[in-house]
Amino acid sequence: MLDKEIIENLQLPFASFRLFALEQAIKTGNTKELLALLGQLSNSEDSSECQVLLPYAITAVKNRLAGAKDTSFNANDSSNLSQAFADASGEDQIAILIGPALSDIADHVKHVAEWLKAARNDAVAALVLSTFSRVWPDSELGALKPLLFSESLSIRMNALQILIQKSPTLITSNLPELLISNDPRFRALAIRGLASIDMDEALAHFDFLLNSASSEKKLSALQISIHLPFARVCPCLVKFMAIEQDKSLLAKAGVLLASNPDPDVPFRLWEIAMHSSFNKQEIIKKIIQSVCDEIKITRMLNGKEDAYMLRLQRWIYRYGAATLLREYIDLLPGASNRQALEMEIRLKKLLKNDGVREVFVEAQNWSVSEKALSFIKNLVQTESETVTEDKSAKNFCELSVDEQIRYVTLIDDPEKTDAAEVLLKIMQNIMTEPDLSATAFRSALRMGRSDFVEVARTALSSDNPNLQSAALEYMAEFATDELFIKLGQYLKSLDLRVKRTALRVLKKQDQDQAVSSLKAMLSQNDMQQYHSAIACMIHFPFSSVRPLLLEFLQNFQSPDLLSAGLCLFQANPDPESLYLLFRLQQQIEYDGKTLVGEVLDSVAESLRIDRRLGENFSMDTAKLEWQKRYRQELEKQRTPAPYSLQMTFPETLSAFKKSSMDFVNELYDRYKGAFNIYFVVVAILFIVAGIRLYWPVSSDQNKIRAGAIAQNSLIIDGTVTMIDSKGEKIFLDDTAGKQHVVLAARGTWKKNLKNTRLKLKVTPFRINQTGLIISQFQAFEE
Amino acid sequence: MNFSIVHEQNEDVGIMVISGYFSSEAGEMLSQQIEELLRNGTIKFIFDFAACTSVNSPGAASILDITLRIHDDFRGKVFITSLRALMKNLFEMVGIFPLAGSAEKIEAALIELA
Repeated sequence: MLDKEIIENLQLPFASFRLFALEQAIKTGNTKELLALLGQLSNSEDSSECQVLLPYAITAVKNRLAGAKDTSFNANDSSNLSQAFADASGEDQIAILIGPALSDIADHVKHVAEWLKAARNDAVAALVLSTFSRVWPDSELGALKPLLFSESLSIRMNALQILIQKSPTLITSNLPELLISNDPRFRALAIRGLASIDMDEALAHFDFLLNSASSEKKLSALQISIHLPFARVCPCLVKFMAIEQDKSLLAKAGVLLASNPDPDVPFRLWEIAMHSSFNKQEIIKKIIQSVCDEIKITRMLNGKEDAYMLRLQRWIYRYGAATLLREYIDLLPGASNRQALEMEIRLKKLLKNDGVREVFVEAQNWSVSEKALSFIKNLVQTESETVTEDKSAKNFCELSVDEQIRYVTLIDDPEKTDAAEVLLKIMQNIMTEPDLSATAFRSALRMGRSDFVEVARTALSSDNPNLQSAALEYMAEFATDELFIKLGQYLKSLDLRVKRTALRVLKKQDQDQAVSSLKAMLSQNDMQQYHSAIACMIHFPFSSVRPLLLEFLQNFQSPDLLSAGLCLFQANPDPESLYLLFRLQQQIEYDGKTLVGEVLDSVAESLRIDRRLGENFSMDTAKLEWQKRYRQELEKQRTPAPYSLQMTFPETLSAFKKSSMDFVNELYDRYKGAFNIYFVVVAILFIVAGIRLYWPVSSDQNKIRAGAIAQNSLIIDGTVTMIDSKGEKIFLDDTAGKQHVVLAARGTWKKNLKNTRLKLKVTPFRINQTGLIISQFQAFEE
Repeated sequence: MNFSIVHEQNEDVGIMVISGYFSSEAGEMLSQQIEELLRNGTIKFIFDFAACTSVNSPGAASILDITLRIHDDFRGKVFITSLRALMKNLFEMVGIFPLAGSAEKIEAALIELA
C-alpha cells in the first residue's frame, strides 16, 4: 500500500481500516508525512488495538527512513527461525515477520501454529495471520474458527480473510453473527464469504450495505462488488446511482458501470439523470458518455455500435417527450385554460423531432381521460413548426394574457433578444396575472436567471397552485437553503400540483427523504393520498420507487390503484421490470391478474421494439425461468437461512406487511407508559399552535424584525398617510405606531383615502430594514 | 471477446503485455502464466495494458488476486503500465494500486524495479 493510501486509511473513523493501514505502515511505510501522522495518532488514537500497533509502526517507519538494514535474524532453517521468533520480544517478532528472514514464506508454513501460539500480543498474532494468510495450511483451518470471535478486531479480520479464501463453508454457521458486524470492512468480507455459499443472499446483503447511511460502508460495498457477478450487481448499482448524492461515490459507481459496459445501462442512467439536480445530472451524463465510449472501444455490439448510439439518442428524445406529456396530462384536470395553453406551447415546441411526434401519435392510445385525449389529438394535428410570435417587448403590454403567456413560454428562444426586458416587466408588476407570472418563473429558471428570488419568495404564498409551484421550483434552484426550511408546509399541501412540486424539489436534493415522504403517504389510510403518491412517482427515477410501488400494489389490492401503478411500468419500460411484473401477477389474488399480464406483455413488446431485450428472448422460456425463480424465492421466505438478510436485519422486512392497526399497536406499546399524558399534551400544543398560526391577528400583537415573514393573515387597523400615483400602494400607520405598505391591484386605492382610518385584512410577506411591513391586500375589514 | 497475453523477459523482470478485453478468462490465463514464472524464480513483474481495450470487474478481481499472490506470498513486486484513466480509477478503487506500483511506460517501470 502506498503511504498516501495508508495516510488516508489512518484518518477513517473505522478501527478496522486504521488497523489494516497500521499493518501496512509496519510492512512498507517509508515517508516523513506518515511518520508525522503516526506521531499525532499516538496521542489521539482511541482504539486500544491501534494503540498497541502504533509504536511498532513508528519504529518500523523510522528505521526505514534512517536506512537501517535488518540483520538480526538470518536463521539457516525454518526451525531456527521459529525458535528465534518464540524467544523474541514483541517488537523483534514484528521485525522478523516484516524482515527479509521470512522471504521464502512457504518454508515456514508447517510451523504456523507454533508462530501463532508464540505471538507476544494480539498485534503480533494478527500480523502472523496476515503474513501467512495466502499459504495457510488446510490442516490448521479449524484453529481459526475460534479466532473469528477474538476480542481483537485485527485477529478477527485476518482469520476471516483466510477462512473465506480457503474454506467459506467452514463459516456458514458463524455468518449470522459476522454479517451484522458494525465494521464495514469486516461485513464486506463476510458478504464475500457468503457469496461462495449463497449468491442470492450475498447480493441482498451487498445491496443493503450499499444503501446504508455511512459513506465508508457504501465504499466497502463498491469495493467488494468486483467479487460478485456483475450482471447481478448492476441493478443494485443503478438503484444506487438514483439515490446517492455524494459525487465521489457516484463517480466510483460510474467506474464500475463503465468498466462493465452494458448496453441497457445508458437508458436507465438517462432516466435517473432527468430526475436529478443539475450537479448530479452532469455527473451522470459523464458516466453515460463513459459507458458509451466503452461500448464503442470494446466493440461489444459487433460493429453495430453506431446504430446503437442512434437508437439511444432517439429513445432519449422519446423518453423526454413522453415524460413531459404524462406530467402535463396529470395536471390537466385542475389546470386553467391558460395553464393548458402553456403546456400546449411547450409540447408543440418539441414536435420538430420526429421521434417526439411518434410518441404523441402513440399517446392517442393511452388510457387517459377524454379531456387528455383531445389535448393530445390537438397536439398531433399541429404542423411541425415552432410556434413563434412576431412580438417584442415594446408592445408586449398590449398583448392579451394568452398571447403574453405564449410569448413568455418561448422566450428562451435565442432569437428573442428582449427576453430580459420582458421578464423584468412581468416580475416588477405585482398585478401580473398569476398564470403569466408562473410561466415567467419557469422560463427564467430555464434561462438560468437568478435575479427574481425576492419576487419568487412572495409568490410562494400565492393561493394560485400554478404560481406557487413555479415559485417553488425557482426557489429550489436559486434559494435552496431558504426554501428547504419551509418545504414541509408545501409537502403537506392539499393541492396535488403543489405537493408534487415540493416532493420533486425535495427529491432533487435528498432522494432518500423524498422516498420516505412517499412511503409516509402510502402508509396512511387515505385513498386520495395513495393516488397522490402514485402520481408523484413520475418525478422519481422509476428504478428507485419501483420496489415501493410493487410492495404497495401487492399489499393494497385495489383495481384503481393497480391500474394507476401499472401505468408507471408502461411509461418506464425496463427489462428489470419483467420478472417483477410476473411476480406481482402471481402475488395478487383478484381480477387484476389479467391486467398485470397485459402490462407485462406490453412492456416486453416495447422493449423488443427498442431492442433492449436479447435477440433470443422468448416470453414463454422467460416465464418458465421466472416461475422457477419465484418458487425459489417463496421457499427462501418460508425457511430463511440463518444468514439471510431477513434474519440478520429484520428491519428490512416490508413496511406494508403491517396493517394500520399494527402500527397503532406498535406505537401504543412503545409509548404506553406516557400515552395519556403525552398525547393529551401534544394535542393541546397542536391546537394552540394551530389557532396562533391560522387565526388572523392584529398587527400590534407582532414584534418587528427585518426579513421574510411566514404568516397567513394580518389585520391592520390604521390611518392612511400616503397613496402612490397609480393607486397600487397605500401607506398606513397602525394604532401601535407601526408603518405599513399594502400592495393591491392598480387603481384599488383612491386619492381621497388619505387620512382615513381603515381596517384591512392582508398577507404580510416582508419587513424592510426601516421596520416597514410590506403586505399584499386581501380584503377590507371595515 | 478476444484477448492475448504475451510474456517478454527483461533480465529478472517478467513483462506481461496484455491485449484485448481483460475479463475473467484472460485473468485465468494470466494467473497460470504468472504462477509458472513465480515457480521459476521471477518475482518482479510489469503488466502492460497499452493494447488492452477494457478491464471488467472479474478481470480486476483477477488482477487483484494475482497481485496479492506476488506481493504477499513471494514478496515480489508488480508495476502496472499504460493504463487508461478508467482502468486506473477502477484499480485504485478496488485496492490494486496500493499493492502494485503504477508507471506511464514500461521503461519507467523497469527503472523502478531495478
